[in-house]
Amino acid sequence: MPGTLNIDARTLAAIDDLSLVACGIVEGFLSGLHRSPFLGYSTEFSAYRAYTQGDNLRHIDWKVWGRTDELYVKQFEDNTNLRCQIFLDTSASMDFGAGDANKFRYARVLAAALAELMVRQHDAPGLVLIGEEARQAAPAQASRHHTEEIFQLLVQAQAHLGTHFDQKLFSIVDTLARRGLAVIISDFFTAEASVRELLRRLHAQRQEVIVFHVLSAEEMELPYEGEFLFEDLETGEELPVHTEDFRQEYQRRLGAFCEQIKQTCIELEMDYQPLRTDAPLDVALIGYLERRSAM
Amino acid sequence: MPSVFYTNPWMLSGLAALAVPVIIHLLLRRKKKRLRFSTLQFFVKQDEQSSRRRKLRNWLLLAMRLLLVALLVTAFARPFQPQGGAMPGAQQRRLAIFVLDRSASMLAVGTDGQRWSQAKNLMQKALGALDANDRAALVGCSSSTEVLSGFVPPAALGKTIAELQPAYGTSSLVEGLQQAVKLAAAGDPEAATTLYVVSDLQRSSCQNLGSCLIPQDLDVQVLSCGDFYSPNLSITDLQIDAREGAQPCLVVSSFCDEESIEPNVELAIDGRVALSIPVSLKAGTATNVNLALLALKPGWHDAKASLRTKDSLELDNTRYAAFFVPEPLRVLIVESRKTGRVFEQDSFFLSAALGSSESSSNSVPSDFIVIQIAPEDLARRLSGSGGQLPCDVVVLPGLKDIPSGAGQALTRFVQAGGGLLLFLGEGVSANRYNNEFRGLMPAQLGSIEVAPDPASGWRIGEFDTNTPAFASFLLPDSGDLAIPQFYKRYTLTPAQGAAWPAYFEDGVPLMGAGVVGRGRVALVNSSADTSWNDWPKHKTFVPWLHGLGRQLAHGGAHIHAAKAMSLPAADELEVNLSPGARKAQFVLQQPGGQKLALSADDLGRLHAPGQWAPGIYSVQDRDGGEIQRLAVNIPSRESDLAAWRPLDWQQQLVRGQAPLRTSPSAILYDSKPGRKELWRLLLLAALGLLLLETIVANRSSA
Repeated sequence: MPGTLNIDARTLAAIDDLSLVACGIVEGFLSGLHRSPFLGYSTEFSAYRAYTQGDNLRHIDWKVWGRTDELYVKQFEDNTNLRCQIFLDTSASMDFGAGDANKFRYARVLAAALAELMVRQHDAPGLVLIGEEARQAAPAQASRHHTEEIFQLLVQAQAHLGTHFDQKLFSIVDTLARRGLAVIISDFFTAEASVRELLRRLHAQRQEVIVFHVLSAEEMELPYEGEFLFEDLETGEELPVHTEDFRQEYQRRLGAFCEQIKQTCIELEMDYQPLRTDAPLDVALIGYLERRSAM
Repeated sequence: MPSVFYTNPWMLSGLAALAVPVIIHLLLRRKKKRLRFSTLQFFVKQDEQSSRRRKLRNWLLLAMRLLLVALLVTAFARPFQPQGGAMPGAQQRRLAIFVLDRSASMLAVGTDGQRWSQAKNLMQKALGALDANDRAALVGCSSSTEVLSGFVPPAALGKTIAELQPAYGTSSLVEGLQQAVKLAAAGDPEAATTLYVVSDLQRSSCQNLGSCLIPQDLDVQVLSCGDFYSPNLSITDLQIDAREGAQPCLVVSSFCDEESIEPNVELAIDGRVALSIPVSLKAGTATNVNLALLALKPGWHDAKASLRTKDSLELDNTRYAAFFVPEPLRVLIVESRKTGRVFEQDSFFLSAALGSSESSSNSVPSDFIVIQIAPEDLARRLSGSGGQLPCDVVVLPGLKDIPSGAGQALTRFVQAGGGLLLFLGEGVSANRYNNEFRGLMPAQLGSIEVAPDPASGWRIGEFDTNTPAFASFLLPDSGDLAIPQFYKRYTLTPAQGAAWPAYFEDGVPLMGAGVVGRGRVALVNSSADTSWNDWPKHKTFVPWLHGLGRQLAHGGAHIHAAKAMSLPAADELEVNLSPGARKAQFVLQQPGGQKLALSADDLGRLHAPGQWAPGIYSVQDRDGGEIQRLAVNIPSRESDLAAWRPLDWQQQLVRGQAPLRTSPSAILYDSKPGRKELWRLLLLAALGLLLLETIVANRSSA
């Protein structure tokens, strides 16, 4: 992994133009990857770059080596048009976290950045919004205009109501007939069985799946002192909680919940990536590229 | 329930500070804030129980803080309880500790009668002034100090005192005071303690009074008995030694300021009056009276010296002594010179030295009976005794002719346990001696040597004072063995196994000794008269010869003969017998004829606890044979009845801040006369509460 990558999502998100934010993230990310082997090797020549350890010897331009006595690798435009579906959780529970650490804001930026990166990779990003009722917001297409459409959808998306990994969502999954990549961005605060069912169906549809489990620092640490009346963002249920007394037990339960999802992913040979909203996005983008290069 | 009073009641107004924790509690009470949270699926209902527990803890903390403030305020108000729950000023419980002098001087009689009776009356009177609730203890001071009674009701101690007998030893009042201070410290801290010193305040009993620290608040009262001035005469010493030459004597002392008439001293030996003489004695002096006694039979004897006078202490007018007269040793001296003038005989000096006190008028006979025989009678004399040794020691001055059979007879005699002392001299045939006394001589004789300087001769160089022959020269003024001069001697070849207790200054042996069978032989490398040396003319000759004679007789067994014992009256009689007496059973016969069975300990000592009155005691074995006689006398320092006046005595006491009461409750309550202070207890409780509050508060915030 490149050591110079440092994309601060919060700074970029402050610009409040999702397309600009996503492009900025991806540009910054790709400039850090200039010696990385993550770019694709398709049939159409794109550019030369200096040889780095790990490059396939077949891609070395021996004529250039003959003239300059230096090794260069030929880069090609990837024209695979891999279909990538981004499943974004828009339930009310995602709208948690103060300011820049808001989970939904973070998830939207991540989805936008992924869409931008996918288009640059000549993949075909699509967007599925999961909320009270799941819907295929944008089908998978590999054009620059399509990215703009996805950005628009993401800007308009709002986090509200409950999380339902239900039949509607499953029927969308069932339509993914072609082998592709599925990226799920969610906090998975719903019935565990339905999460498992979603992942199982994606696996059955021969989708390579990356799970981004987004949690805010507040959710993970419960840093509050004193007695609170907690209100559930999705159900509106209220519960008095003395945080000092309950912090340890809460963290134990949350840890067990995350571990359960991780185990399900491992069983189904999926990538599981926990994401804190105060962490840079590069971890998520690298995860995507790693999975993409393996296909 | 006992009432509580306050020294600073106005401080209780500080209880208004109780409002402070309440206000702080209310101000800092956290209101429940509403928080919109992503999901509640990780919270459970049991949190409500936790909330209830937290509320309970908060109330508990508030209660503890309120109590803490209340305790501190109350402590500053200095609460106290009147003792016994009564009002201040009520009758306080009293403790009385009696330190009773039981020394022999308490048996003196004065203008108010006997001191001992007077002391008991004074104590009973003091006990009578106490209430039934009060307590009294008794510390007895005699040769050892002991607590005779702990704190008991006055009536019970009165009974103990009525049955108490005096002791005959000395006492140390300072030890009694120390015991009493310890008793006071262990007693009831709420009670008023008074220490009564019941004594004649004899000066010898009151030494080192300053070494005992008396607490400031301990009341000390003196119940003095006896007169300040008590004239007294006493026999302070009686010495009758069984050893030859020791002069029996007694010492009469006056402890009066005025001249007294000449008292008569009467000495009784074995119950029979031996002499009665008047003694001239000046006021405040002591005089030594030499005693001329008749000869006594061998065995145990006792002496009782009595002073016929009227004085304060009658007990010290009589003194006892016990002594042992040993059997004299029979010494056979062979004399070869037939002459009418004894001073020309070879054995003249030997006979004179061994029989030196034969004609003395003293009571103690000589240790030796000297018999002179001719050389030709020696064998017959030694063989004709029918199994028993005919004598204890045979002394041979240098013999020119050794009669036939003498050598064999001497060998048999020595092997049977006899002693043989050989001298050399002019005319002694070295070959004859070497042959005839082969096996007896500790060395083979060589040739005669003459001193290179006849004017000075050889002198004695080294000698072994561990041997009985030379042991007496350890004593001071026992003479200088380097003075005698020796002009001739033999060259000697030492025999194997022989010991050499003395050498000339040039390293040549002077005296050799050996053991043959059950007997002993000694060879002196010089003559028995003054022909080869001048030793017999010096004072060291006689004690040396007597020591050597005792060493040779009976294989040296009589050296361990019993010695008389004189013991001071004490709380325990201890008699040192020989180590062979360990674990053996004995009978102690007392002056009145009563007998007490005793057994010796592992070291052969007899211990008999109890009060032993002055007199003659006898230790007998199971068969009734007397093995030790001992005299018990009161310590001579008890005779000096000079005493302190009570006021002067009180002034010698050293008062200090030594803690009178060290019991845990005393530390806790800081009791003062008439009240029990509670502030320390309250502060301690506040401290504990503070600690508890810290723990509970930390648990709440964890």
